[in-house]
Amino acid sequence: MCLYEEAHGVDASHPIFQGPFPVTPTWHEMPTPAHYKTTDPTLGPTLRAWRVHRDKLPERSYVGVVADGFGFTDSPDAEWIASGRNSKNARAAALARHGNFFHWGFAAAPPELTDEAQRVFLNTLAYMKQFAGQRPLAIGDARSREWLPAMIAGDQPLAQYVKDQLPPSWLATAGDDRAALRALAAAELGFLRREGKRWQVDADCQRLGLDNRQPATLRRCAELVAAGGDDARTASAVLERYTGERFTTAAQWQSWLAAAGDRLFHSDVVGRFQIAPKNLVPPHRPKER
Amino acid sequence: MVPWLPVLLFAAVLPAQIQKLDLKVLYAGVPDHPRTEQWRTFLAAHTTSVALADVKTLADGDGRDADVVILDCPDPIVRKADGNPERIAVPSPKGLTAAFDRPTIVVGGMTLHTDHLQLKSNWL
Repeated sequence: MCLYEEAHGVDASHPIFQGPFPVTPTWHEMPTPAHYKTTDPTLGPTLRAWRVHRDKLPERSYVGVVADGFGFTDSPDAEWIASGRNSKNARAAALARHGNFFHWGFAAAPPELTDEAQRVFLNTLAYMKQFAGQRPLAIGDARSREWLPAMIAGDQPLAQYVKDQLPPSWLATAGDDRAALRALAAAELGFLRREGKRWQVDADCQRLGLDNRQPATLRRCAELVAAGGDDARTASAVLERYTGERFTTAAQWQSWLAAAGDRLFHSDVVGRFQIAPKNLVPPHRPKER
Repeated sequence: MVPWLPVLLFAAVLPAQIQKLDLKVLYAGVPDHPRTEQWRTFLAAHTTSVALADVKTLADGDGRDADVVILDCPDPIVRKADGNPERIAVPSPKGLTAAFDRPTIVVGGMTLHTDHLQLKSNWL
């Protein structure tokens, strides 16, 4: 349990800040917790913050809970709205939605919430009503590959639990050289595939130069299957691996992809593509954070 | 007529109009705990209706009459005599699965349950 009094990284354009009770957050600057810089050395000395609890939490009081923010928005059933001062990292989610479940990580009971936070909570009630029946789509316990660049971002020696997750080919090539590992991550993140507790570079995706998170990859693979030749077998394997479907002809793949349309998405939580239902309420995404 | 009178009238009326949300809320918490009463008072002031339930017994199919369900609990940290944490005791609604389809706000420590359901809103 690790979430304290204030939010940061707040997406104030999210509907829960817009109404029915409009809220103009009162901002203040909070010192960036030193441990945040182990996963994001680019952070400045302060973060723009919004107070949720009226008062500073006393020792041994009920503190809140953050969720894993890395990869949170890799599926269209999820929204990341804010982090908050916590003992994990700057991406950890304090306010977020997954399907019909809204994560309000702050522990305060209503009298302990600021007036602004009370209004945002009420707005959240109103906002959530539309998600009746909109169950979470990406369910699983796998961590996102977005963790990997964060785990090798700093300059500390690599911990064993980090090495245990990095692709063996990265360690064989770069060893403990963080700069070299970061270069590999920049080049190969889109080719990774989870096998057990560890990430591996998918040689087929690497050979084709295709990012296994992008729906366009599946369409390109269907084209390669249709074209025949050396790449057709590799493309067919990629299609099967990342869709869970088994088709024998390019026309079948193309028909399936056409039916899925723009509802295809990949989440590292599941490790393959899924198709969102037609009635999915589109997620709110900030223009920029 | 004073030109800004309509503005004043609007300002006087608007808060009354928006103070109550047209929402039925089911608050599932720990019965008879002071925190539950704090939430009930707050929600009753701002929503059409508030029903209470024991979060431990909430299950799939419950909350059909509610627009939104809230899962909450008091501080789940059980402390030793010296005040240091001994264990975490979050109520566990075993009948509530990822198939629960009501709009749901999960507050603070109840995140342990969505963690068990393997949702993205997990306990980091």
